[in-house]
Amino acid sequence: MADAATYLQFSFVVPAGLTVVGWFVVARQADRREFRKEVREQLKELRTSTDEIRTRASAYWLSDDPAVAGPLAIGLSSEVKRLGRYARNLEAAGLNFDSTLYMVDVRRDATGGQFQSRSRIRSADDEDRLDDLSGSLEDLISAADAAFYEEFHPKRRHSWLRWMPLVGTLFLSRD
Amino acid sequence: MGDTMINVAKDFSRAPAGRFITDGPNSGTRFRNQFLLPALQNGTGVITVELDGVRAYGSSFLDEAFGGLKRAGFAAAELMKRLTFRSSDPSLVAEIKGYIS
Repeated sequence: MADAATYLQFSFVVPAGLTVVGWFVVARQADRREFRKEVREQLKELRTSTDEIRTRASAYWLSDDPAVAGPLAIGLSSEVKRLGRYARNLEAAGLNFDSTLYMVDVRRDATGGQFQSRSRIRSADDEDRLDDLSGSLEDLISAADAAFYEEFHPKRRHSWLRWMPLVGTLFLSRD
Repeated sequence: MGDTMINVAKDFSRAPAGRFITDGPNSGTRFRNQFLLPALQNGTGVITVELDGVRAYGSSFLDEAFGGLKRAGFAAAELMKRLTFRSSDPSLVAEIKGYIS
């Protein structure tokens, strides 16, 4: 009788425990999904910034008009600075990649050499510079993408643990 | 002599640009000649360069300002020992150290 009473008294513990633990697991997965969406948005901004740098770099380095060189140069260097901030945001969010050396390469390719020089004359080297810049930007994007998929591997998106609240609830309702 | 602090944005310009004096008033050459060289030549302490607050840096400016110190005759070891940098952007510090090492 004592055993039956004890069983009846505590028979809800396991199903309730399963339900509560399951709620935590589902809540954590929901948080992780939201976090993944935020990181994807940051990655999108990074890509948009790299496209902007390509456009501004082409405009600056392929231009023969000294009147517009100044504003074009300011726009280009500002965009490179913005790109660096987006890359650091991704690192701060927890992605496992170090943007430092990639940003050094991007800045050198975009704003090195005769950048902001009043005596600059357009030359064939400028097109090589733009090719190098394109390569540096692709390296940065590849590293960021690789870090994203390392953190949010498609195979790890779903877990059987998300069924725990349902299992716990079924046991509870049987009682 | 004690340590020195150079704040690029407040002491020099918020818009550093270009390499040579002919490129404009805020060139790498002027920054090097007016701030870095006197600090290095007139003391033995550490020189801290605050890089934040500037609109943006071009590599041409950084190369001329800091890389020019080696071309002026300073040894890499001394520059690495005496120059320190403060910046919210670690890639700026890494780039400058690449020029002075």
